[in-house]
Amino acid sequence: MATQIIMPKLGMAMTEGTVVKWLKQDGEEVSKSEPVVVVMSKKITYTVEAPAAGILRIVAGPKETRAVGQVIGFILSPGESMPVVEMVPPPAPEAVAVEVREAAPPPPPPPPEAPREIRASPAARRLARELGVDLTRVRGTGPEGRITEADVQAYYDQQQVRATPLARRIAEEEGLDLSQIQGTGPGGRITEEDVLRALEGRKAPTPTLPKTIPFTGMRQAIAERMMESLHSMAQLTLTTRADVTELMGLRETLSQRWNVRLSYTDFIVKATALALKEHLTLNSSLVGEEIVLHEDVHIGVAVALEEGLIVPVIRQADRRSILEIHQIVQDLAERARKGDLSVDEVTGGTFTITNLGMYGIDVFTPIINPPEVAILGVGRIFEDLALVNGQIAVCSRVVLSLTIDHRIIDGAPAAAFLQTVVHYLEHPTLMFVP
Amino acid sequence: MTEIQALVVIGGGSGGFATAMRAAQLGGRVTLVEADLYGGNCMNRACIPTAFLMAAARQMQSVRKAGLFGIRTGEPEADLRALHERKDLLIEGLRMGTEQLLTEYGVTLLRGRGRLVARDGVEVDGQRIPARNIVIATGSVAAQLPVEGADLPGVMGTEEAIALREVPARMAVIGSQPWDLELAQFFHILGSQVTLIEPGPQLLPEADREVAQRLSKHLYDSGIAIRRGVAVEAIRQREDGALAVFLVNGQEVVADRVLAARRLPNSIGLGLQELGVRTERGAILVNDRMETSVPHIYAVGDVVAGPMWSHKANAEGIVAAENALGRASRMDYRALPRCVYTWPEVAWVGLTEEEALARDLEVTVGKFPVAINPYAMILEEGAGMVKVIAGRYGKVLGVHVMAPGAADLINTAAMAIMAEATVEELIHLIPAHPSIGEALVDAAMDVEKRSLHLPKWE
Repeated sequence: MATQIIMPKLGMAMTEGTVVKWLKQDGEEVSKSEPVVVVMSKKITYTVEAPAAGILRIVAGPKETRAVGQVIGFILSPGESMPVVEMVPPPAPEAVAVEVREAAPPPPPPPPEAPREIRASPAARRLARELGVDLTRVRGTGPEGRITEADVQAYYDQQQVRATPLARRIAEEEGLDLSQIQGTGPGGRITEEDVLRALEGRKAPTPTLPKTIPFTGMRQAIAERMMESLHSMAQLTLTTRADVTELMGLRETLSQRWNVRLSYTDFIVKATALALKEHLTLNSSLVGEEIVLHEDVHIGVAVALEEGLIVPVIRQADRRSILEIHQIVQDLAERARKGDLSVDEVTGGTFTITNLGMYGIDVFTPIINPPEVAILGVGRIFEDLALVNGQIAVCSRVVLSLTIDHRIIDGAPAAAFLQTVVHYLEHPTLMFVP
Repeated sequence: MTEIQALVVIGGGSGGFATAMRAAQLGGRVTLVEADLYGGNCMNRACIPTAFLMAAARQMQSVRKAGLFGIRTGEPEADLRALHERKDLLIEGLRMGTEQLLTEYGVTLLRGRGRLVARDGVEVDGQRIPARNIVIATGSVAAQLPVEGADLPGVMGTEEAIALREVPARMAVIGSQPWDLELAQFFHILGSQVTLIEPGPQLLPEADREVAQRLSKHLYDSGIAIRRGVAVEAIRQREDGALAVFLVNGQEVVADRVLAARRLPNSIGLGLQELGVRTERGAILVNDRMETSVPHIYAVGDVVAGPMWSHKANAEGIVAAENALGRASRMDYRALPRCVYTWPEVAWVGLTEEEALARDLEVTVGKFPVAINPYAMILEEGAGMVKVIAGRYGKVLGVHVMAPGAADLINTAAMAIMAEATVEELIHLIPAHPSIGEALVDAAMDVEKRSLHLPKWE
């Protein structure tokens, strides 16, 4: 099919243009986008490229003037004949106007602006008056372009969106709804860039909003307690290692005998409870100007929950057997996960144990659970090499991290307590001595 | 000084000053290192002294024109000693004000030559100052034109020309950058016979062609000789001691003094290469956050690529300081004004008509001759024009002004471009009457062929 080459519009004011010269001969083969003809408006010259590949046929020769949009040539497929063109007589030569003004040659005068008759519904007119909307600026969507009340409201709403004048003008001319565009300018103003992006159908790069978790309830309670703890105490963490090879064997034996699955925590609770009885300053609280030593040992065991953590308490832990401790811990942990614990079961502890061993942690610095004065952190059990009577042997070890409130407990007694815990763990049968 | 600085700025000129002040406002601990004079090139040797010289020349012209207003005077006479004394006093006052402001904001002023020794440290004369961020604001340095004879005695850079205590009988100016035109006009008004030599087709190569042509005609009409489109072959000393500028077309311009100035980014000897700060032809490469290729090192002003304007350095300094202190700030050059302090002034913002057409934009131009602006008529300063380049949707692409007070009027146009006002907003502006600003509104109206003060379009 024949492709037209038309006189391009090179400026808003351009109505006609003149062919300066053809860069290709009539009948010559041209490829697409190859420059074929130079045309001229009153202001500039411009090279037109071939809109398609084929045989060039010239319609308007050099110096001929054509209105914008009129055909000046064709690109034909091989063998195709020239379409009939309605020839326009060239305009009569004009006398060159003497340039009076300092400006560039004036473009032809625009047609006088006829007073535009506005077709609008009475309701639209009333609303426009109320809102102060200029009806000449409203695009009508009713029958025959009649402006409806909804059109006035929509226009008014557009004007309420924060946008730069240029952005507003582009949206107006292109029929874009500003309220659907996200502004990136100062104060969230919609800018030219935003509107042009929307015009190209591209969405503004909306930043992925971070997810939020309400900072309330348990999270807030933990936050308050932990900050209170760190702000009110002089916390110091000591760490040591314990050889738990023997304990592992005992755990297996007892588990089989009692047909339960004992955990290390059960043993550590017991060992700690016994050690606390021997080092009561670790099982104390600071009340006013007195350090109160608690005779009863109530050990809290931290249980991780999805929304935070909770510390159920094993009362009189020192007096319980391993099996009892096991059963109590199991029960408390299970009910903790269900959210089924009573207030009494999570308060009144005198010492806390927290175990991160199952997460592969060795050493950490636990934060004391006030009003307690110490907390024991239990790490991972790992295989290690030991020298036994000059021979290398495989052993199992665990790292214990003890945080103390240095206002009440000094390093030496804390170390002594830790050594006692280690002693029980390394010689687990001692835990069964009545 | 061993305390870590949030920011160490090398160079206390326009860019360095703005950086240091903004960073101090944001609570940063700042050290500003200056090897020479605070206020930098602009305040001490370029913009301020030149604008002063031009103001002096204008006074002289006003006296000459006084008769037009019914004021009788004699021919004015320049007292260069008094002129320079007054100029130096002015600069000293400005410089003192600068130093005082910086001190008041808690900026540590350190004299010496700063050098980057690490990503987090600047060395000043052997002393190491640790810094979290470094801003390079070393500006530019005067350089000779790459022309034979540029090193002859009598061939001056702008600094020497500004400080010159005599009016040479004949003067040749090679180039037509703003400073060239300003100094050419200054010496011409004071009595020199001046020849401007521009190798390109247009004076002020970056300005709108039509405006540049008008300025060119105005300078020519006032008696400055102009040689356009011809390059300089060499400058040679004649037997009589005068200088001769030989042009490639065989012509020869004889002068007692030749102004042959250019400026290059001052990036040598700062240790940039060792740290991997990327440069191109001596200019430091930066992004729109003013960050160089090395994290935590920023650069602003003449030392970075782009035109050398003090107000550009100033704006860049604010951006650099804000980013260095944790804000997210971007430099936008769309509304950067340019100004030339000739008489009348020439100023512009945005695109020239040629640039707009080269970008294939839909361009409509509105113009208004200053000759028929009532206030310009009162002032007897009608040589200029105002030109508004409008794009699609009435977007203001550029505004060009040649008129008395153009450097002030251009700020209105810059505001329009920055706030994305369209031609419609400019048309709706109510200018004070009489004022030069009326010509801006008339030119905007002319975009829509509706100026009330122009003859009807045919």
